Amino acid sequence: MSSTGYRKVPSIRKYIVRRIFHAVPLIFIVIILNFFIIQLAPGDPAEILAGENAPGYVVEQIRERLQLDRPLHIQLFFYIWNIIHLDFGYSYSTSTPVISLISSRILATLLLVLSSTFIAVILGIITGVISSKNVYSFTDNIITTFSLISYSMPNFWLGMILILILGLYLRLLPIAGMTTLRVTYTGLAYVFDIIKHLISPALALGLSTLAIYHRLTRASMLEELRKDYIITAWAKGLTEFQVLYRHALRNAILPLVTVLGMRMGFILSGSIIVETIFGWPGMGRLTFFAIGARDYPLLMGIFTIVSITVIITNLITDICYYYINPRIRFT
Amino acid sequence: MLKKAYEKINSFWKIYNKNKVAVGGLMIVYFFIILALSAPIISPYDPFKINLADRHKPPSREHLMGTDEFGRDVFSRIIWGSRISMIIGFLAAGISTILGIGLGSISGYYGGMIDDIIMRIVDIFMVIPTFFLILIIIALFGSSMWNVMVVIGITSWPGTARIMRAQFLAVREKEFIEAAKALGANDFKIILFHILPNAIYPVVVNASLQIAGAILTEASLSFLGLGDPSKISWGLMLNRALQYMRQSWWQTIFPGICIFLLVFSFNVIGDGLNDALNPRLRER
Repeated sequence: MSSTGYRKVPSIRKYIVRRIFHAVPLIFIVIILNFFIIQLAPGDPAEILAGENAPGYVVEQIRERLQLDRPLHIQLFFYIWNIIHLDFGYSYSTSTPVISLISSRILATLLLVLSSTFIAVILGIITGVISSKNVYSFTDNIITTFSLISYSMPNFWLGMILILILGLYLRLLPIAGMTTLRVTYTGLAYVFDIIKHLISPALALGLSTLAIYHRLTRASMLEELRKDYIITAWAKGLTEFQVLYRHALRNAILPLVTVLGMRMGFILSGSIIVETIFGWPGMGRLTFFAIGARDYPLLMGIFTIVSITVIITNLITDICYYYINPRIRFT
Repeated sequence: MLKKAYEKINSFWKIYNKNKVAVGGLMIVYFFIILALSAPIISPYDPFKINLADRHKPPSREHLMGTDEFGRDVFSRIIWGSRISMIIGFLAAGISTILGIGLGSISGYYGGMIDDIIMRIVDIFMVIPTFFLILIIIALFGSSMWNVMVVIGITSWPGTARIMRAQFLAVREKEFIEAAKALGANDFKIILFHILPNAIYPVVVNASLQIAGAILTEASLSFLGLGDPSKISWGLMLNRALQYMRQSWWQTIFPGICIFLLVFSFNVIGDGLNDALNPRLRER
């Protein structure tokens, strides 16, 4: 790229630094938002954070530790200071630090979220390309109808249907948990066991994303397939695979990258419900537990971590976009 | 004047009518509106009446959709449950659309500092996982129906504001706006009577999608036990059904179908509105 000589190409390092400068304030805003939600909630912040029926000395302890009797800006400073040091306070319903609860659950959630996103994106793109190849054909109509339906499907209902059909009726897949209880598998058998448990929750979580990806790919491919270079590619006698996947898809994929970052928030929100239904031991079920126990420090900690995850995902997709799209480097 | 309006509606309906799925969606929504309005008349049983002798009865002639774990009639509960979905769907989407139109038009019309501030707020909302935010606010402030509605409304306006702003930026530069300014119209008049009517169509389309989103969010909140506990809601019914899936599949199937149908309908109505209102598509 740099040999074209049109203009000096801004370096990737500069671009990344600039994006990071955009992302860091966002993280602080999330933390400040968290702080003000507790302040604005009805009741005394210290009592809210100590939990219902907490003895007076615990409330006092929290008030002192978080400097809650000092002026607001000092409180805010201490709040941010604590979070920078990964101190999210204590979860009173389990009497453990919030950060250790979250870190014990985060891997399971990442496994679920990443695998369902991966499946959704790959299948969405493939079905989108197939649809765009024969627009308004029988296959396209079937796939498009299916994607329209799965887009409107509430994920909790989808999960329950999957349990009913695959788990209880056909007895094909396990209905809950991440591993089979009472049996200890090792090595490859362990991996297969997890995969077996992963299929239905990943499907329930990813189906709406799959629908969106199908729709986007179809529209974006239709746009590309009309262009001149595609006609050239066909005229050169390239195979269908080469024209569709090598030429058209490469350009059609660009808008899909940015959407991935935006979807991340939806998928992580969906994990609360899906993990609860399938008993998946991740952050989503922890959130459900925190709601039930009215464990606000835990809830706030999860919100902060999830927001940071989404911001970082957006940062990564921005950087990927830069790599994939050479045009952005010249503007 | 009246004739002109009639013609407009007619031409709108002609195009909308071509999208058969969207027409079907509109009919489903009508059906649910009638269901919600006439709940006291048509529901065969009292939705709250507990009858422990009839627990987990499968669908039959007496109980069209079976009974739940307290022997309550699922069909009656579904009819009453349509009310909360409808109210929250329409009002929450209304709040967010009005906020979005207001802030988006100010942002697009005036530009400059105001625009910068509003757009930064929009950016923040775009990266924050809103559902988590709604969960926390509802958990802290209480889960009455009004709270749920307002919180959904005030967290989902940024998309609308962004669309509105883009439309304003495009229309603002047109000659007839300059003409209106030359004739001495003030900003308020220009925004409300000259730009807005020419810029509103994508917001109308978006409003339909917002209703679908609000219904889904309400159902998810109720499913997680954060709905209004004093009201019957489809999400809450599914929450209870989760524990009794082995005994009674009907508790799972029917409320879910209703949520799905309503969300699906508003989504396809959005598609239909887009076909009928998008001036670029109309010219073809």
